[in-house]
Amino acid sequence: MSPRVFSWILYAVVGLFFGIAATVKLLDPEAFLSSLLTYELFPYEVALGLAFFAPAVELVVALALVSGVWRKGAALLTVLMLVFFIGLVAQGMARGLEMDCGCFGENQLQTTADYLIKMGQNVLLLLAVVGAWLVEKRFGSEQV
Amino acid sequence: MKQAIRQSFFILALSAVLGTASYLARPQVVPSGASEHEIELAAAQELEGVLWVDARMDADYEAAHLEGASLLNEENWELGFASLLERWVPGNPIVVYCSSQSCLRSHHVAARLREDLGMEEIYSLQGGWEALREAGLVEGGER
Repeated sequence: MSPRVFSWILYAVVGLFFGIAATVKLLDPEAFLSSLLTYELFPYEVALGLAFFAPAVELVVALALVSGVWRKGAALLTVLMLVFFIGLVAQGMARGLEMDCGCFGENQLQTTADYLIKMGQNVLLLLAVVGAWLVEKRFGSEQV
Repeated sequence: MKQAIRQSFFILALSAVLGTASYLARPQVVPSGASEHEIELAAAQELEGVLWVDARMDADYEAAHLEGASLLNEENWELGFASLLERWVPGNPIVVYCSSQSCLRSHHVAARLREDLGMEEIYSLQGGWEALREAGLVEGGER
């Protein structure tokens, strides 16, 4: 397998995750809004804005990662979003909250194991996108 | 890196447009202006002649509810609304609660009541059932 194909596969996997997550949220914004409120971090109006903005960002990022258009920007945003998600989940765990992550529809986080698994998923996605970026940089591929 | 930052701004701008369009296409799916009609428990208890409304599922209401609260949810609106009209004194305030701060059922029910009854003094209780339980006004009863 060529490095370019390997890099594209990694981007595509991350893009697929983001695409699914975005679709679920766009289909049921109320459920995502409700999930955001369980973070006990955002005022209602901010959560309302995020309920529509966040899935839109995820969708555009997913399309960019898979298609290669604006991929560098999408990869940067992906890293920032994943770090943000990890931080959100970590603060919930630290505060002992019972949160609904809302990442892929309803996804209750109640035990420490739930929190660690969720953070682990995000770390894996983070490693995938950073790995893809490093491979792309090393072998100088702009687009597949 | 400059290119990545520039592209990320394009993506964010496009997302803002898409997110706004997504909201404008169906604004009714989420309660807007909800915080304007929220009320804290202490303030709700001060309201004279207040009627409490439980917007949780029927089974949750049957398991436990605030004493004197009427059941009204969107699943059984007609029945619940008729029952509420029998108990409500026109002009008196209404406070609706659901399971927690993150549930939106009370906001939906309160908004619909404001529309149907044509009055503004219909609130959603901040913290919902959890707030009532923490205050010792109710016991048990999960979401």
